[in-house]
Amino acid sequence: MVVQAVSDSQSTSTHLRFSTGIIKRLGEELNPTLSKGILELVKNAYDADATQCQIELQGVSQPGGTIIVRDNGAGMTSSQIMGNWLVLGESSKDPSSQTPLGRIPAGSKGLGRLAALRMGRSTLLTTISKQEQNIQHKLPIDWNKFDDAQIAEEFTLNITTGPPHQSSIPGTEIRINDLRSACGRTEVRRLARELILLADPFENNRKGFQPKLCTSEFEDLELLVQNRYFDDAEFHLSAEVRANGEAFAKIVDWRGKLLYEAKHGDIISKKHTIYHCPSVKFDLWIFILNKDTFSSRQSSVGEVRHWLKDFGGVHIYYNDLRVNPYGGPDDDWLGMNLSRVKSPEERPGTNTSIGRIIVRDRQNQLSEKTDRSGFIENKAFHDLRSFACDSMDWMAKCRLKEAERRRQKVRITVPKQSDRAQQDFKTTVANVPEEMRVVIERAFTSYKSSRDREVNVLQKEVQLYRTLSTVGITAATFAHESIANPIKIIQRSIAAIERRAKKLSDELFSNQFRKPIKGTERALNSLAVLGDVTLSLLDHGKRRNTQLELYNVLDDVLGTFSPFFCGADVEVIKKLAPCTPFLRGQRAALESIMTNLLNNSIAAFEDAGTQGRTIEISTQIVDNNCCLSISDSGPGIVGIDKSDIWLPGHTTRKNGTGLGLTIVRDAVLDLGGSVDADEHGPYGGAVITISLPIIGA
Amino acid sequence: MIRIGSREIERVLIVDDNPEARQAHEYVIEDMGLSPSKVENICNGNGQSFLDSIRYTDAILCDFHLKNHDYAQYNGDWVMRQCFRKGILGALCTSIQEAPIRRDYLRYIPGLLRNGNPNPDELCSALEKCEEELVGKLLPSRRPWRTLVRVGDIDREHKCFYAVIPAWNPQVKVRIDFDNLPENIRPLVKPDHRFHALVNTGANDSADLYFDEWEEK
Repeated sequence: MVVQAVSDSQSTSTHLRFSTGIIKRLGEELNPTLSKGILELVKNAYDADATQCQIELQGVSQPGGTIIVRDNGAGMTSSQIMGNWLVLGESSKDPSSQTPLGRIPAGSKGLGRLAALRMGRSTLLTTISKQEQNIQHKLPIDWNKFDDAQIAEEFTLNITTGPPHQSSIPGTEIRINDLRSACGRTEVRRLARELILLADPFENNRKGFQPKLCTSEFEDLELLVQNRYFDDAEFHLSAEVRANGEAFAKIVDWRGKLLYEAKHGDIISKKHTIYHCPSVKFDLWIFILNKDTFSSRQSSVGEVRHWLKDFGGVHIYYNDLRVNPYGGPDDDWLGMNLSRVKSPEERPGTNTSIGRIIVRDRQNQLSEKTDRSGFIENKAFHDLRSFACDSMDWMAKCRLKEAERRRQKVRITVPKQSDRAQQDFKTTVANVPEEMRVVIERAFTSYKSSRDREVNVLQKEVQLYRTLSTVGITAATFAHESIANPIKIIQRSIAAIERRAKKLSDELFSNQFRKPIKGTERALNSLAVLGDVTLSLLDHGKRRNTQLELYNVLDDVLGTFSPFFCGADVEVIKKLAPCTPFLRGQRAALESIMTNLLNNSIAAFEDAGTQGRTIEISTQIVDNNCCLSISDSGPGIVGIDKSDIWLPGHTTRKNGTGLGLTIVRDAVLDLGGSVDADEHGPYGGAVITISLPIIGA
Repeated sequence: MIRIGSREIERVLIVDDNPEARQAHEYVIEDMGLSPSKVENICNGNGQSFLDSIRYTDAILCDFHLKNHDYAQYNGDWVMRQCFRKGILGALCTSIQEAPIRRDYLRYIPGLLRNGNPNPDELCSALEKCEEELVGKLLPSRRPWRTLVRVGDIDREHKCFYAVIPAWNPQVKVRIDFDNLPENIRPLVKPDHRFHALVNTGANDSADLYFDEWEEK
């Protein structure tokens, strides 16, 4: 090999070059669906100030079909084609300046357009510029030849310029020929929906832009969207973030009557001071989809439900164009459905409401992701979402207050209505012949007295629940306070006394201090357990549906009870089937069952003064069920009918609530199981057997 | 005075919002033969003056709940993290089993005393663990690994979500409060979204799992 020496430094100019493969992948990977690709072309038409944009699909149900996108916008000159349309990755559209029709450009970088154009094997661009209406430019692109080239610059494109063939109306037509893949009905319907929603069809003034897809699906949906059912909404939330970052909101009812108004401080959550997002207007129409509500409306529940199914959810209109996926099918970006599950009375879901958020953003505070899958989740977007959620939270609070007011009103009016009905009845009976009147009055008196008894029982039950709730709240407060402070301090002080006494003299400690100190420690441990149990019952995580290992929950409950068992001399025997049964449900439900049954056994021992206190817990797996039996050596079920033990308020214990076994029954039912009782079991006491469906063992 | 690692420990600061509890902690420290001193209030400002003052102590015994009285604006987990970062030995004491210790702070709290009533041996052991981690010796249950964290259910009402950490236990969902996450990560939390974070995947109990240095996958 001959190596030539270089005597002087030389320079050679070169460029970064791109393979056609990377451009192909960029376009295809960023916009994988037909509707996304075509929407990009339609947005180009919007940016070109088109008032109409027509999309034709020809033979697209099979590969080889054609898509034509035609608009009556400003068109392009040859230099605009070369300098803008064919340049990928750079946009000449400045969001801070408006088009002659006052539109803020969507500002595409051309990658979406590239993907759309490549859906076919060839593309033909035909355009007439407003500036040169007697000239038509044509640009054919053969993508097979493009793919054959190694680098993009090797692929040459030719713009043909000549007089217009048919008419000299400015505008652009893009014809995507020989489609690579077929496009099914679902995709066409999706495209139709996206096109209809693109330019805020709910607004009266639609900025004069109406894309149209020439298919029957589009016409059906277009008819549907034109049925604006906003007047049938029960509530209309209207909220805004102003330029200074402060929000305000109001709610009107279906007659347009103002119900509530909120200032910034009423809406914003504590962690924010102002919303750092562009000016935003949020409208949400909430429907109550039942026959009673719609009895006085012009439309039917079914019509509105159908409409909401297609268009419900909260859409974002960013500089007048809708941004995907917000408000799309299966998109619940504000978590409305989850909130509704927790509070169905006050919260709208995506199937019971429709909303839009209009954002005018000239400072580019929000920016769309390159793959058009929504906004980049920056501070501005985060605050925009917080504002929408806060507004809905505020509305939920208002509706909750309203519901409470209604309940109070009903509480007052119902007795009056009842009195009036009774009076009407007496008046009517007074007109009946005397011999019949006596019979009717006797029957009515009998009915009334049994009804009064029923009301009385229900009132007592309600009062009992209230009392128990109060007991629960108070116990939780005391538990927290006692664990956090007095118990902790006594424990530490006792431990210090023990250490110091031992240090002084082991013998003195053993003789004089050990017993009282250990007794105090045991008592403190029991006290601490009481607190722990109360607080652990309140853990909201236990009220989630999750997979539960039965033995694991049982061991935890028995662990909690162990100081009580120890203090009451109760022996617990476990005879568990050798497996690990698990089920799906709420841990709180399972704990309630076990806690109430163990409580009952301990109480029964105490009431009867039982000698030799034993509780046996056994399990058996039968088919797909786990049978859990708790038997004890107490007196059994006595003094009450076996079938009555499940009824609320029925108890044989003085000061007993009679709710323990009712809760057990309800919790077992919630877990999909069944429960049974025997008056006397193998140890002489009661046996409660619970059968729970399991998903594995 | 006692020796822990290469350190001589003499002065121990007690941080607890309850004066009686501070007094009770003092007994433990006195019984270790050390000199306790009590912090009467750390409420003012951002806690900087308190953090300046701890430079002159050898170790800290701190309770988790500090906000019940007009004592501090933050909990003991915050204090512990600050101490760890300053290289000061510390033990955090909590008597509530499910105390809401921040999972991002937990990484800096090797000396955690969950029984709420430490004796001198337990306190000494907690301080030793802290010293070990400060010199880089981590137990397998505390060693951080960068691992996948997948979002399960989101509970917006309680401002938390439940995550699965396949490298720890793919069957168990672990609760993580949103305020334990860096601000830039919070809006990204969606069902089935995946992140990478530093997690002590050797932990035995889900309550001992810490999460730090989150990244979107």
